[in-house]
Amino acid sequence: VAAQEPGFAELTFRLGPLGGTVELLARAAPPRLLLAVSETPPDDVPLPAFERSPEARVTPRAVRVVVLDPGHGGSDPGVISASGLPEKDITLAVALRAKERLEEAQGLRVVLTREQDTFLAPEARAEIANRERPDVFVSIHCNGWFDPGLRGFSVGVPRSEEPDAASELPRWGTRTVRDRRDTETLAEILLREMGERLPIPDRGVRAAAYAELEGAAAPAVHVECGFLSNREDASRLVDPEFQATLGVAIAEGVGAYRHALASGEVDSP
Amino acid sequence: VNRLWIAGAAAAAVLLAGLIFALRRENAPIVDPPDLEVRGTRTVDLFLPAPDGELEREPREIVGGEHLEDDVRRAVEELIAGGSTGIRPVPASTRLINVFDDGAGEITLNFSEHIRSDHPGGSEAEIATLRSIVSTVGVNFPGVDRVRILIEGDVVNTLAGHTDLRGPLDVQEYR
Repeated sequence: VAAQEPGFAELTFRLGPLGGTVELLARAAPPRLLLAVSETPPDDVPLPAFERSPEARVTPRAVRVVVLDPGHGGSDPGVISASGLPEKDITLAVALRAKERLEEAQGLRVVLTREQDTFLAPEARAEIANRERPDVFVSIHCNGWFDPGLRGFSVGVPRSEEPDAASELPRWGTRTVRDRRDTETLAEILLREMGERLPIPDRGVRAAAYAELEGAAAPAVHVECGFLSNREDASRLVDPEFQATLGVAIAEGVGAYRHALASGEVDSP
Repeated sequence: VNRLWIAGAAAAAVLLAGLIFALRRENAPIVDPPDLEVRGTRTVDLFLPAPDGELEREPREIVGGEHLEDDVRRAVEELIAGGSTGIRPVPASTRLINVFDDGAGEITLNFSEHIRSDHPGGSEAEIATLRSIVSTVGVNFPGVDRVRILIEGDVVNTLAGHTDLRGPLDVQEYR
């Protein structure tokens, strides 16, 4: 970014030497700029040998970096419990405890999308996470319902999406097959580990169009810790001890997923 | 002078009454309001959240209107009124302000702010609200492929922080 002022950004791309053609395409819905580089160079131009940057190398699947996303924040309180405690405070407490546990017990690098009571738009969260080159992305939430009836924890996964048929280029939000498969594995392991530690019902894996998971370049899940609209769940969720248990449960789930990858329990790519 | 004044006032009153009558005639609807007896009723399936969180179909009779927008409005208003499950997916305070059919498979529903401000929040409730609306419109009105939800005329990011509402919702994905 060469220059920036409110409402404008100037982007400079330095490419080359390239054999093929380069096109800059503007697309709507969702708004994005695409830099399309053709694969086939003219016959008479030999392709130079490139040293691939470290980021571009295909890394073996291992969990080194975890991004935790405490749901809501700032002007967006999320669900508000009967006692008045907002979801945004609970998700932050749970995420901080999970981070501590993952760093201590697993020695992983853990980054939070927010560490304060600040507003972050859902659609900005995957982008913030991607800057850290995460191996796992976990968004943490508390659930709500129209009456006190529903209770329990669940793990949400992105609804399976098809690539944009109208374009040969992948659209923002289209996930790799490997990430989709690993997301399912991560969700199952997280549910198992949470189920062993939490005294509330397990509502299973749920697929939906979670906005904050769209575009995440890693296995990504949406953890619901329980229903703030249910008296029994809420009485636990507002308790700092239970929040710590939730943080540990999520950390242990990520740790178990990491071991599953390392031990080859999960199919290799 | 007094008599002149009274005569003038009377003439002005007659003129004013005539003008109002003429204007009312001019503004009278060209088409008569829908004759409810003649147009009859039709049955639509409302999609309402059940106590277990799943959606249940509940048939409801609505008065058929002249345009697709009329029928969509009545179906969505029935959804707001709720059903036998006792769970209202759209807060009762919500008003459906406008319905617009683009004629190319997309229905736009413009709701009052209450759909957001009186919503309980939580991803499960948010998704149930969207699925109830999109299923009720998409399943009952063939040819509707997408439902766009606006609040007070504006495109919003989300209803309660979890699902992208910046574009229309695809009926096939939500039903």
